[in-house]
Amino acid sequence: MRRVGRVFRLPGGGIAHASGLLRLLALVVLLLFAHGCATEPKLAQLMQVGPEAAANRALQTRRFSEVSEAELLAACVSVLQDLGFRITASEARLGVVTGDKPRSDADMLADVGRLSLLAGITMGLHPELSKGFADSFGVVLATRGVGGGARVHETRATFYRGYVGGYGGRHAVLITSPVLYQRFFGMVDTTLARTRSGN
Amino acid sequence: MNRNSAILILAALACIPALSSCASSPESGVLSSPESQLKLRSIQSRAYDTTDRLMVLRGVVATLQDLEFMIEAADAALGLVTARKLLLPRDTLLGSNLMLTVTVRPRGEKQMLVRLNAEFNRRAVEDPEVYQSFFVALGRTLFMSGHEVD
Repeated sequence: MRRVGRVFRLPGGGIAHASGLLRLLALVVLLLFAHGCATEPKLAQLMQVGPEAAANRALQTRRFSEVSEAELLAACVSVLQDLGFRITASEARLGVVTGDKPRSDADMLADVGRLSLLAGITMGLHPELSKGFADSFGVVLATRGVGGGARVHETRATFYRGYVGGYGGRHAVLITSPVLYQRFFGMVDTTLARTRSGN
Repeated sequence: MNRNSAILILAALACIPALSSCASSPESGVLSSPESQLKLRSIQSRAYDTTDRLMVLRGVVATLQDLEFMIEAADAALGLVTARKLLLPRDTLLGSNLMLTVTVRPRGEKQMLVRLNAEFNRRAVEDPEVYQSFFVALGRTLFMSGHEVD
């Protein structure tokens, strides 16, 4: 039998041929070069407001009457706490609050199972596999006064889904489900009503 | 150990001090800036005819929300907002990360100067179009908030 290259003993007790190691090394080098040469996404396009932005903004914004900005922000934070979000930054003078929340283990396991099945059936070719699976959620809240009145304010919430484990590492995608935003603002409304009634 | 191996090890040891003297110190890049810094600063800055710093900062936040950035920090006293966009990999092989730092400060008595620093995968973005696009979006937001357009 012809031997190709030298044989190395691996720490685990296994052996590897030098040519195999060289091939692996060449692949790693090739990947690094490919990453360096990969075309950057059109960054200027990422800085342009897309045609869907107006519809998204309408979906993400709700106006509240008879409430101060501080009361509205506090109600939003209270709802986020109820939902299990961790507040990561806030600046009351700008009416900004941000937060994040890990996805439940059960939901993530279900996702891993579903994606594994999808990978098996499509031999790893399904485009959804490139995204990885969602492991967290993020939120950015911003409030502002409307019409110059001290008691009319609106809040805009943007929710994100954080992904991990896809072909491109960690990334986040805006959630555009109308139901999610309606439910969130409904909860803010309820919290404000509860605060007004002193409960 | 034979004689040749001992010589090789000695030679390697002798090289270490030479190599360490050639290496740049870890802090050598702290105060360095590209030669084109002045040009870049002018690309990164835009003045707006208003004296309301908070209104401009709120406009920055609204614009970043329109652009689907996640706000990471905001400080009204410093006039500072930082944001990040973790991109879905399409064109790049590995993940991509676009970071923005926006500052707002008064310029003269009638203007606010907005400066944006953009970083893509930890490298400064020098494409003027990126900054122009942001300032166009910000200008539109400020106009809308000034005119209460819903």
